[in-house]
Amino acid sequence: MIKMRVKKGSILDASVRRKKFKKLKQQALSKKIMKRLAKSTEDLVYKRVKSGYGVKGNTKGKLKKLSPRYKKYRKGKPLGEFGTPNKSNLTLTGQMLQAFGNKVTKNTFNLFIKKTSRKTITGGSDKHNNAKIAEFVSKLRPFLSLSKPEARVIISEYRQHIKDVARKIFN
Amino acid sequence: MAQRTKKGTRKLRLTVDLARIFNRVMTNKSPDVRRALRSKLTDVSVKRAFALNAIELITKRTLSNKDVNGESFAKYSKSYKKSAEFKIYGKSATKVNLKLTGEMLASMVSKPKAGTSIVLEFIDADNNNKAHGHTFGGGVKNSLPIRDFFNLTSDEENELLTDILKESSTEEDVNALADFFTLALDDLL
Repeated sequence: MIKMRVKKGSILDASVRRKKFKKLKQQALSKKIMKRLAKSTEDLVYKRVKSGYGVKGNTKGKLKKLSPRYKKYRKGKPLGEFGTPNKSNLTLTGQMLQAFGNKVTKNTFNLFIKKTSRKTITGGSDKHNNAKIAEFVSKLRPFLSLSKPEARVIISEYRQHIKDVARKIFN
Repeated sequence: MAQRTKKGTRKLRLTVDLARIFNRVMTNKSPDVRRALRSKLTDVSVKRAFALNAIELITKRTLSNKDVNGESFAKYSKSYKKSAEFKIYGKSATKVNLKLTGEMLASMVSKPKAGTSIVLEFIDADNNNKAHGHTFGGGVKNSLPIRDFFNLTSDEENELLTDILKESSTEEDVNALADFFTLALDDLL
């Protein structure tokens, strides 16, 4: 628990600097910063999955291996970005991980896989959308959440943003 | 320079005594001013501001490809440059900044310590071990070169403390505000 001590005349003394604090609050919880953090989080999850890692609970771990039969099926197929026949990184065509979307409100952001249509590996139309595929693969290979060290990366980016803005406003 | 745990110690720690820096930088102040400022060195918010600004400084310096002595880091090995992870994370072959996932640098924390000292360390074992490897080198067949990032030079220490103790400083409050806005996110950790 962090205790805050407000010194008289300090930048936290709202009676003196109310306007500046309001400005900081607006910028600290703005849609712009939430959008930036959502993008960073999306990037972090994308790269982690492509490296072959998922997250169960709040712990990062290797994604469950592919079955020998499925590896054989993947051989010679035009796999998506960073896909190889033997690597378990949720990449067959690559469409699911390209379908990241985010919803940003004033002080939150949500990350999800969009319900966009997809093509099969042979080029035909797939009856499942990307969100459905994500839901399906998540059962055995959960990936759409953050481990504690990953959350720390995003919080640290946010913290640095607040410090930069506060210095600009109060100095 | 700050006092760092020696090679062979598993836990990497950086201990900085603010009183030692104070004696170095406040030589031209009157005894009254010195006495008043010195009493601030045990203040929790002053120590926290120093520690968090030190973490910010180490992070920014490291991301700008410089080690503690201002030298460029040792180059990446050929095998690392050829690895899939290197490509996935879009790393530059020439820009060595100790950042792949960013987790190691983001896991630096300050721990409270009595008196006028502060301690910096890594919050979890994995990132402590990574940082330890960079700091002292080693690895299989000594393949990991020393990339000394986790320390502060005397000049850096002086600047950090002077910034916080100057009359118009807002650094204590800037850090308190950052704490305030990220407090709700502690649930994620």
